[in-house]
Amino acid sequence: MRTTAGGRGAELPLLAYMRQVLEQDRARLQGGTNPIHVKFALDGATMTSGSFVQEEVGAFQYLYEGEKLADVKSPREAHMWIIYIGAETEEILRYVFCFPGPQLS
Amino acid sequence: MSELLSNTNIMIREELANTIEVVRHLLEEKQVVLSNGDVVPVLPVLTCDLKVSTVLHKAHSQHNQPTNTTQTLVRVLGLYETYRPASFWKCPYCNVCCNDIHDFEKEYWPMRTEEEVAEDERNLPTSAIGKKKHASTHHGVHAPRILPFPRTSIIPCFLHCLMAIVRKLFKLLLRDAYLSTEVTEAWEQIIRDRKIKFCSNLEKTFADRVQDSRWGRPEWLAILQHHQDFINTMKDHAGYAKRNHTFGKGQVGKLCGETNILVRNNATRAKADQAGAVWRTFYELATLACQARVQITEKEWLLRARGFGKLFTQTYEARNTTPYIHIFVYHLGYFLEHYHGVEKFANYALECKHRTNKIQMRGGTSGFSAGPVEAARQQLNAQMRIEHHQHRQLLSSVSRGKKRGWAELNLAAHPAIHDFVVSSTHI
Repeated sequence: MRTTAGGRGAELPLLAYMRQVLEQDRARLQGGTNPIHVKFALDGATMTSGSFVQEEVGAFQYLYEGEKLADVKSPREAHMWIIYIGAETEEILRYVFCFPGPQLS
Repeated sequence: MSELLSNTNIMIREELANTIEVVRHLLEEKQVVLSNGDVVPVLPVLTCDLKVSTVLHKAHSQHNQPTNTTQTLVRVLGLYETYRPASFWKCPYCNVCCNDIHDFEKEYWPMRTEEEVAEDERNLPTSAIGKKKHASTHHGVHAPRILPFPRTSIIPCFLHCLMAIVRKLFKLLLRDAYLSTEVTEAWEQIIRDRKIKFCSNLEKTFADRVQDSRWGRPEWLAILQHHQDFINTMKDHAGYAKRNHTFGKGQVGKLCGETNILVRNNATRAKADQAGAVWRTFYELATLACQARVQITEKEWLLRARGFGKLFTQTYEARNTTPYIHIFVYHLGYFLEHYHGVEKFANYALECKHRTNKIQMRGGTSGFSAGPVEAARQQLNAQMRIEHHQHRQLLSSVSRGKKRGWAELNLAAHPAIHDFVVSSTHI
């Protein structure tokens, strides 16, 4: 886990995380040689109703051939690797530019 | 504002700096090497909703402050704007402009190639005004794209696409019904019969109540499935619809995104029939695109989808053609042919995840008291723990766990498109 390069959120090392998920899902690979689609998605979500703080969330998802469509839609399949605070108002944008936040070990 | 927009682009670029490297690596190598040396071939794709990237929020509009920045596809592709009614360049996938977006006679709109994108991104000016000017002459490009996915690997999110088009069609239907008392009462009954949640404030107009009901995917799917009931009601009351009040620019105008609606009592059967044909054609195509696995060529899709587009422009004014309708008609076919479906790529899993995130933020983190970075870190930590726990559960269980009901709902394939459906349940 580390602070994002921009200093406004946190992220997991993406490639290592992808590798870990694949290793966990080894049974679902079915030994096929067809490439697996890996979907990256970015989406914003308002986290607090009152103060209007919006996060930008990045998640990846493997789409294994022959899986049930209902399973593909399950939130368990989305693996978030990054969350950062998106700019909601000019003030917040200015704030995050001026105060990039503490560095994490 | 344009300065702020380019700042937002810079901000995303900074945040995703590590991601950009990994994505570039994956796009080149197309494989992930496991710890034991096994190589797993992967095909990376990107799915984002084509939502408004920056809008003026009501509460802050007097200060001209942009809010609600869902910086997704438009920002990631370094585009200035492609969604506003006043935008000149209308589509992130191709070079269609506002003068042509309603023309469905054109056989094909080719997607932007890598060379074209590189050409548009060349010699980008540094000043905000310069960038805006550059965008106007270079297909809306005002900044270098953030993630280097080619257009053919950026799949439109059908979850948002479907909802946006049904919403548009319903609003146009509502406009054509002129909110007459008989029609709206009958529609309300249909809505209640279908158990669709509906704002109960009788002091508000029907249009405002629709707006306030904040319908999500299940509601819009139900509207689409039962569109014929709405059309039939409109037909029954055609020609002698009474208006229950006079309209200004407000109610209908606000709902339809138009400012000058002339109120006239000429809702005819012919108009209802036309609207019915538009809905029917769209419904058939939507049920195809909703299936788990399909087998259709881009050409076959275009043939049918352009039919819908032509019907749409024959029935409604050209200005009502939205980028989502254009993408649905001209670009969805490519992805249906090459990826055998788009429903599996829609952002259900991530959208469902937001709920968990909010719960975690409220109860599982120290909130923003230690700063936004710490809040994000705690959320990711919590997620890792949950995933670890779920993985252990999955090892001893056949089920893939609980899904969200709203995401699981889907449309059954229409008999007219049955030949193209390979599977409705498995991708």
